[in-house]
Amino acid sequence: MLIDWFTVAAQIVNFLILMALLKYFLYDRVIKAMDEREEKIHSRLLEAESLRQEAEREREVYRQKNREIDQKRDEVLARVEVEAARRREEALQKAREEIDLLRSGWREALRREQESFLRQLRLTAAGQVLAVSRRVLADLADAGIEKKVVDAFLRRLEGMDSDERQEAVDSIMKAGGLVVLRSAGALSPAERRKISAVLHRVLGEDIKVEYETVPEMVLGIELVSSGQKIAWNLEEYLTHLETSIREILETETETRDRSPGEPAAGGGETP
Amino acid sequence: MDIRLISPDQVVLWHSGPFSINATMIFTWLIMGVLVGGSWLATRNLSSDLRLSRWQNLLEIVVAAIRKQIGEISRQPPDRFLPFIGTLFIFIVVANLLAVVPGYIAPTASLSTTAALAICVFLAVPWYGIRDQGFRQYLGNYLKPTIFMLPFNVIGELSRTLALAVRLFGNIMSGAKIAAIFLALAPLVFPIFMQVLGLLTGLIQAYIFAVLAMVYIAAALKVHESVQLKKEQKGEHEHG
Repeated sequence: MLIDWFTVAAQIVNFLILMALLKYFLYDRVIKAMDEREEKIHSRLLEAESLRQEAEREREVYRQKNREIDQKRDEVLARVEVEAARRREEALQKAREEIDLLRSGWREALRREQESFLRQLRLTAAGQVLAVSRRVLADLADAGIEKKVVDAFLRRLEGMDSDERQEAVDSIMKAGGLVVLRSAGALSPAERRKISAVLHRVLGEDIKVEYETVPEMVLGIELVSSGQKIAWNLEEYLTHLETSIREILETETETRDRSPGEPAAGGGETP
Repeated sequence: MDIRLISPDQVVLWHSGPFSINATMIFTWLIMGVLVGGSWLATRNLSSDLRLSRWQNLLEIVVAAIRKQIGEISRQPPDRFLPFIGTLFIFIVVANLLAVVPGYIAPTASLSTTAALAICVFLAVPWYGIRDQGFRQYLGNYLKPTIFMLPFNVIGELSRTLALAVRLFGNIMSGAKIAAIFLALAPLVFPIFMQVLGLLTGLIQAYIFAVLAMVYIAAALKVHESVQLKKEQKGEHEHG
């Protein structure tokens, strides 16, 4: 008999035992390891994918940020350029204004100096003219002229109208009837008598006349009572002349002062 | 030379009443020891990392190949059949390949062993079939297409089991015998070629045995589960 049934039974049992042992020691473990590895690979792939996506997102975020930074930088640069241009313009404007101010200041100072120099020159010239005139007249003032002066004075006294005459009399009376007659040169007794006669005739018999010599008058004669003065002298003319000259000079200077100021104000607009 | 003399069943080492321990059992235990010990050693430090030891790699290749083969034949998730079919294949392969060891006689060269394995298959078919389809429906298969086919179906079931046992036994036994005979005739180089041929035959027979077992079991299963497998295979491809 080729088949030993005990052996068959034993081999069946052996096979079942082997199957159980291999299931425990081999299949389950190996399959578990393979499944775990597969799971691990799968999870790693998922993880890698998620990391990749995250990286992609981050890249996008950074790209966006870069774009924003670029944009911001451009904006800032543009703003800075505008600001720089504005400041430069301002600085230039300020510099121009300062220059204009300085220039006008210089001009003003120059003009003032010029003016004062001219004024001084004019005044000096006028003074010189007057001094020369005085000198000439003083040099020429001799007895003949004195006599003519006395005549002129007397003509003036006699030429007074009644109101003037009354006024002069009132003031002389108020001063006690004393009048002082001043002259540049000493008067001769004849001239004194002549003058006293005219005074008595014009102003009244009861006035007293005193005679004074005042060389500073240069040429002329004047009658002085308290606050009242009747005179003909060169000094008066000269003073009048000087006043006139001063007035003319002042007027002229004012006109000049006003006219150079106008171009100075307009000069600030041109660089 | 009597055929009884060269069957390992006849080499009885210990005998007591109906119980005896013969060379078939000893070599079977040896194979079991090698397989279980090897598996224990190799699976002691299994890692699920991406780096593998060589042994683990080998085992994984073997197991994965068996699973793939089972899946292709059964068109179902393979893990349910893996312990049975896989153990059949691995046991027969190792039993046959160890024939290179001098003094070793393959247990599969004993009709008792092949009959035991064939009986296991014979029992496994209704086991899986009834679990899968239910008792009545499974038995109903024997009445198809008509009730008159019942005897033929039963005979077919028995005969294919017998064929399984005898095919494996005949091949392995003849290989061993031919090697022995040629060794007697031409003791030098020639037996080596016969040995190599024997190894090839052993490998092929192991494959045939396992595949046929799977085919028989698959024939007893429901058909509609193939859809489920396709889904699973698709999933595996995507993961792979």
